[in-house]
Amino acid sequence: MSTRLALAFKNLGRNSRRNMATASAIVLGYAGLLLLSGFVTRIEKFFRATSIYLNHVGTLSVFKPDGVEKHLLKPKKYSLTPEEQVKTREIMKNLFPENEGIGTSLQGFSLIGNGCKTWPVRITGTEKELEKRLVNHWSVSQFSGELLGARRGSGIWEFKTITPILVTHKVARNLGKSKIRSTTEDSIPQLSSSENYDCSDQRFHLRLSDDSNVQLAARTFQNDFSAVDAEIVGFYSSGLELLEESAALVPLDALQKLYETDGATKISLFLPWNTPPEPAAQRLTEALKNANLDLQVHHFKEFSVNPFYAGFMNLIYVMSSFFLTLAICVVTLTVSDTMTMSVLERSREIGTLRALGFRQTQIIRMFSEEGTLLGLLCLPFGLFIAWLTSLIVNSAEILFEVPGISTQIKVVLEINVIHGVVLGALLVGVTMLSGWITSVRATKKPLVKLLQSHVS
Amino acid sequence: MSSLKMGIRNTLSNWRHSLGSILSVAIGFSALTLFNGYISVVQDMYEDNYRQRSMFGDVMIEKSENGKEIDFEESRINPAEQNFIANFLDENKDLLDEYVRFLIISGLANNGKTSSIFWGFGYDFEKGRKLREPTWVWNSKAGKPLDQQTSDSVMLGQDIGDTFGCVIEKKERLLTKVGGYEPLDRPFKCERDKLQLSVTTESGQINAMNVKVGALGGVGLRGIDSWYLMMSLDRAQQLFDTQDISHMRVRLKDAKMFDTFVKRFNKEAREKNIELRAFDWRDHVIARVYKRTMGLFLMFRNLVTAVILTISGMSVLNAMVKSINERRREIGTLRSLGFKQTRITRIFSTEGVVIGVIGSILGSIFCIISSIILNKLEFIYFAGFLSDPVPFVIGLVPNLYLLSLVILCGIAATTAFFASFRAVKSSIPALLTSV
Repeated sequence: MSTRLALAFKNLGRNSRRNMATASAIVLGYAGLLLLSGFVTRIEKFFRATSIYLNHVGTLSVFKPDGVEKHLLKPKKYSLTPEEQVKTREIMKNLFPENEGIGTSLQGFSLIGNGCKTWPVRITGTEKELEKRLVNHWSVSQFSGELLGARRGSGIWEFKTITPILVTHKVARNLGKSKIRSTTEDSIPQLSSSENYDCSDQRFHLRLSDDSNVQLAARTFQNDFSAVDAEIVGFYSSGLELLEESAALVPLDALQKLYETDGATKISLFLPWNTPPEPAAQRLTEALKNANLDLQVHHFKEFSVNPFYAGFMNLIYVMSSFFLTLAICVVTLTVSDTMTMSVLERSREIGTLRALGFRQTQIIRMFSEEGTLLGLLCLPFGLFIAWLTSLIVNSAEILFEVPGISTQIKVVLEINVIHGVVLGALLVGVTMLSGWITSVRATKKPLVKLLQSHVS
Repeated sequence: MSSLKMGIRNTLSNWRHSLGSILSVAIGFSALTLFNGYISVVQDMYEDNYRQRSMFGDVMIEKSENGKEIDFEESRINPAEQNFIANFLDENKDLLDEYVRFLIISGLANNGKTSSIFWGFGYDFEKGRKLREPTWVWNSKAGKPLDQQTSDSVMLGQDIGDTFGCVIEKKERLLTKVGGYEPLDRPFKCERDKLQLSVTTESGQINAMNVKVGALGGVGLRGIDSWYLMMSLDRAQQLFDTQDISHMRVRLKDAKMFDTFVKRFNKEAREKNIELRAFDWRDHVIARVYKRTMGLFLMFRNLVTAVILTISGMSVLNAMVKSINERRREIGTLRSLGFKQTRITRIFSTEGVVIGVIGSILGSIFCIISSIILNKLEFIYFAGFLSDPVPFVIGLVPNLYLLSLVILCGIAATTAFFASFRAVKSSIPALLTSV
């Protein structure tokens, strides 16, 4: 084995210039693929952290059957009852003791008003303590830090005596609200009854702007009219551009009070970052079925519960796969080209080896090993170029606009070890195969012909 | 000319030497053209979705402040300003195909059981149809387009339609290969046909109006279709108790007239002290998803092109160096016959171009065949923010083929030049005695 390797190494050295050119093609191809995978990895992590933790999608979420599509149409029918909530939580806890959080949430529409103007919002009610854990999750600060940077004010978990509400910057702007209630303010500053409620008066609008109080109004699950007072305690970003016009977040109990219900839209389960969601969803589905609970489990990669993640990543994966296929084809044919020339030039050498008693398989293996060696030698250089480029790009702090995302995100190229190994194995496999294919034909020629062949 | 003749003759007579280079060019050409062909189709889909389906046309006219952009939702063009625009458009009929007035609407829709936020536009139905020509005249997935309905009808985006329990009776893939829907009145059913739209007027009053769900469609962009609602401009103005519009969209007879139109309009508005500006819709905040998606495609395209060209370039260089090394005696003979060094490098560069052309022709044949096969397979997938699944299609774009040909011929000629440059510098005896 070592003799053959030494021989392959020596042969590579004999055509150093040509092999250098081929090697540079492999090196650049490998570096390009690594960088592309690094970019895709970064985007995927951003979308994953944003959707699972900041948009409360969860690793897994449990709905009523068809609840994803119909909970807004018939909220009462498609809400989880308190009994279902308790049982599901219990099952989740027992089945996934490693979980990072389990939370109930309620979603719906509401009007938010400042006394003069109302604005429709898509409102989410979430558990205060869970919200605190989600916002402070390590992956959020690491991969979606830009969205945390867009937050102002406090979290909803920091208030006990009032109904806190977070609204997006745009909702606040549409309502003409600039005041954020701080945790240190004790009493709610109300407009005095002696003040003139004149919505056409600009001074009154300025007064409203300096007041964090808003009113939430909605139809209850029983189709009655309901309203609650709330205090804006912060501005936040949903991360999704299309939601920025109309998103709001309140504690679950406040929203349940507004809708006059004890039901919930879904229960989300937050599993450790690298947990594969599909098998986990399968396990939970089985467990719910065994407990006679007619509920549906979804995971965050599903189009129905996380359309932005699924749609965007789908496009990125299609483009990347297409590029990968083309790049592999180009590298394969480039290496085959070089190998063919090399084999043709060395026809007499092959003839001599055959005359000395080498078997066809031995000669083919020798060329395959030459190809393998060429591929293997290229990988560290490709990795180095990719690493160096990623270092330069990452330190340049380039901002990138992701379609559909409300804020610019930093371009971070993360070299993914698994992708590196898979792509490396693929390229080495390709070079080995090229050596093998090109030498098979040559070794099949009659010995006399091989010995008589010319260089050109 | 004689260099060209010699280049062609040399390529043909040394075809075995040139084969490697030709193959490398063909491979590079195929990879480049297939990938860019795919990207161009996806780009066209997005462009089509905005320009025709969403009726953006070519130019937008919006309110401005000191000639600068203002928040688009604050933009209100009053009747006097509308008259100014109408007069201007009338005077510039030669540039114009059609123009449509739009009013941005938002509020809460309710069917008696369910509420949902809506956001969308009130627009001139008839004129809007013209802006959707030719692909999206029929823009409804179910029901008829609004221009074929009464003015109290609204079109809902598919997702907000789901919220109100609107179901298309027969589920099928509607998008045709060239974009657009088959012009068929597909039946649909909603939980309740009527909706009540509640909005806040500019004066802060709550106003409401009953409308009929006439069609399901939207703009085909995920997220937007969750709130999207379109209605007639008259009814929208009635609902918001206003005569104003938010903006105007103009389709030009020829998109190349964009600069002329915009300059003329902005100049006249400035001269008459009217705070309006005309601009490319792609620069509007509503089209941000489009712009960012295009940016992403551009980045992908550049990265892929750079990698493919580098690999192909290296491969061609490799093959060229080998070919020239094997023809050192030929170079020596030419030199001894009195050929100048520059002439010989020119011959080899021309040979590079010929190799580039032949390789590109082979690549084109491969690309056309593989594109036809792949397009026939109709692999369906979701392309980012487009809400309808689309087929995986590789575009056959002649300009792209031409561009790839030029780039690859350039690479082949440059590599041939560099590969021959060193060889011709050797002494004639060394060249003639080389093995």
